[in-house]
Amino acid sequence: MKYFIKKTVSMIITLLIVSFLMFLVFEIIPGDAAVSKLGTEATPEQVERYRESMGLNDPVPVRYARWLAGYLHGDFGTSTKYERPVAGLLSDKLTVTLFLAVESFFFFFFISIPLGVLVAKYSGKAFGRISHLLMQIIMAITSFFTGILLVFIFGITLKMFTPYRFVAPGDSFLGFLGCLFPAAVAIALPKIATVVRFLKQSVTSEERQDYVRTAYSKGASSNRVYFLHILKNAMIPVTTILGMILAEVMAGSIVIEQVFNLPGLGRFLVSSIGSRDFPVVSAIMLYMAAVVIIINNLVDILYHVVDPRIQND
Amino acid sequence: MLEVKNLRVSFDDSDEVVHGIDFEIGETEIVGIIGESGSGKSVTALSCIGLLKDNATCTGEIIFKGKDLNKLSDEERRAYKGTEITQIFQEPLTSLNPVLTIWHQLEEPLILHRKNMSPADRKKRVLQAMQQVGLNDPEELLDCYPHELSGGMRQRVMIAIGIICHPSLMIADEPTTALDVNLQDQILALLKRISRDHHMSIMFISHNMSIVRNFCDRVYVMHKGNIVETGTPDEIFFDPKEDYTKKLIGSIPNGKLREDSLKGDEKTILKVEDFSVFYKQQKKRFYEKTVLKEVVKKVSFELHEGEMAGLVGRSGCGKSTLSLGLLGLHKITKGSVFFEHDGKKTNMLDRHADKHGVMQMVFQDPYGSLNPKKKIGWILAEPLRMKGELKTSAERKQRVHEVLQEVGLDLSYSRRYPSDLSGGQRQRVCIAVALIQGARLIIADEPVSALDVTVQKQILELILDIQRRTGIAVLFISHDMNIVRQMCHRIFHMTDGKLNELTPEEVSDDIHKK
Repeated sequence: MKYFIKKTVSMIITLLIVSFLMFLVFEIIPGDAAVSKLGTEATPEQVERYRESMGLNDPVPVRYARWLAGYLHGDFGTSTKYERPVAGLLSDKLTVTLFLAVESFFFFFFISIPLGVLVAKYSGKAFGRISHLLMQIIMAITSFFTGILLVFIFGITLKMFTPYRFVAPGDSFLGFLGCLFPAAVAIALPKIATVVRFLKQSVTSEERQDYVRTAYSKGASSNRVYFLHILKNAMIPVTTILGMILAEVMAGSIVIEQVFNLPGLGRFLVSSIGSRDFPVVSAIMLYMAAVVIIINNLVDILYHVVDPRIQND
Repeated sequence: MLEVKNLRVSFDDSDEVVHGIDFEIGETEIVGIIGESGSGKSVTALSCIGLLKDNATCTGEIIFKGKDLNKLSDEERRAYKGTEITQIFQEPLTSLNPVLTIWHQLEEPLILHRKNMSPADRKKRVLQAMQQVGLNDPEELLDCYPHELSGGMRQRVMIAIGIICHPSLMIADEPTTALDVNLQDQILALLKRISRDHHMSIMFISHNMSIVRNFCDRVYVMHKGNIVETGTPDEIFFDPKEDYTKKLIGSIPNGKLREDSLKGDEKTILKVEDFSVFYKQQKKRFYEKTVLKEVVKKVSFELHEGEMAGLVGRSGCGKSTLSLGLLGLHKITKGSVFFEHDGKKTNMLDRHADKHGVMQMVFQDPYGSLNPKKKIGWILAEPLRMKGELKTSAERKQRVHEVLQEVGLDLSYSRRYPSDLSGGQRQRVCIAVALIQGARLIIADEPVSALDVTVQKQILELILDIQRRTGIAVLFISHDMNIVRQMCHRIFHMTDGKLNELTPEEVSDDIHKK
């Protein structure tokens, strides 16, 4: 418990430091918000008045505090391109990205973990060899190509889903999840291959441990030994990778969103950078940084759950 | 109750490691199987309970309570494992699953074999079994993980797992080898009591002759996959028939005192005064000051040229820390360590002093202390290259060959890798590494405790021979009083970081206690 509190405090401090750095970066990037707002024809007096009224002449710490306070209240500023609050613009895109992430992570998790153990268990047999080869092939193919392949095979040839049709979550939630599924599979496949290979290695090294022999000596079946005794130990090194993958999918995939025509965060980020819409860009970047930091900390805490040998200090 | 006939075990259809052995174990009988590593005793045990790996082929009959287990399918055989036949292993820490609580591990045999037992009954049985093996406050231990228990407690947990389903036969494969001597006695007494109270037979596998002698009703001696002799412990130990058994019994350190003594006018070679070694203790909060823990406490002693001094003590008393400290391998120390030879004084604690070839160390584990990727010749020549006195490789080769001969290996060994060598040969190489620089003092940290008795005897003789021939001083660290007594002129005893020298009376007193 003490460890948990300590970890949370350090996480909040990290988040603050990151947000300050982010704020500084956008300060340093050339370009004057007032000039870009009023246009090049504005007189210096007009610009100065605008700066004063918007508080742009205040020192950096004051403006940072104001900016941070706005974020904490859910006010992410106003998009310069759409002239609408950033929060409203982002909420739809975030829904798509988050559900895509959750869906692909579930798909990934419930396939890769059992498959990894089975590949290790049957590593000398045909099943193990074929899956091993298959995983290597999948890993070598980039996810957008897998995506195109999935659209072609299951969408166009087999007509199992309508390619490039997007159902808003408000219209039909199940339809929304359904239209995300091919993209989720495309994201998950290469990650499944990575984790299966890694877990296989981990399980193979655990197989040789003495406690496995003890479990067999109690009369446990080989499935029980693999999925209860070995898996729990083998998951310890894999936990880090799972965290990294979760952070990656939560941040949104630009390429996959493009291939499957999904209005997610990644695509929005690219178009906002193109139009120099800095309030939107900084909000998305802060979200991505926060996701990575929070998930990494969760993984650290999770370590203590899966491995009781780690001391809580 | 268990009758094994013509048991043969081979791996990958080629190497037969057990060549058709017959033995039997009666009800409530404790039967010992002794033999050196590689004699096939562990493989025999594993085939009795059915834990051989897939690449092993096992033929012959294993008749348990009238049923041939070797004819059963894997599924049928599982019904015996953990209920009728159980096994406990050598290393209790690694044999328990590190990420499951004691409760889960104790409960498992009941879940597997007593399917109609209610959770409350299971808990009752688990607590009862824990009490039977002498674990006090069993309730509190249930939620612990193996790493939170001491070595003795872990082995008790293993035994509790073994007896929880009231088996008829327990196979104990070196169950006390990883434990301290006084813990060994406790665990053995416990096993004996359980065997008597619950009418459980024990198949006891060990390489330790003295334990087998006191513990077993009957003994089988195994050698290279065959049973060479059988009888009661007294028959085997006092009247061995076979040559191999005679050799085995003859190799046991008998604890006779070393006969030759020093003249008394030898020069001091090592002078240690008020020497302390510290470890940094883990800080609880980052702003706390680092606390130093004194592991070796103000030790003073002298070693003389040509002297063999023994250092005994329990594990964890600071023996190894002291030896590393003497070599200057510990940073946080107090006091002084001076090495004197040929009128030259070297401060061992000065990190910049030239310490080449002054003092050398031989470690316990000959497998881990040689670089597996280099040939023996390269390993031996390395200190010569660093020292740079012998410029040409031919000169170095010459020196390597001399040293190899000195430790009783022929020249062809310089072209081999450590993995091609047996444990005893490796330890010879380690001694050669220590000798090659002309060290005048060797610290040998448990040099023979990883070796079999017969090999142990050879290495001890080699060390004695080298010491007599070259007149070097040796600090011999061991936990086995019998070995130290027959090797050393003087014996130091270490408890809790403090050192005291045993008087000759104390040394001979110890013999009578045994």
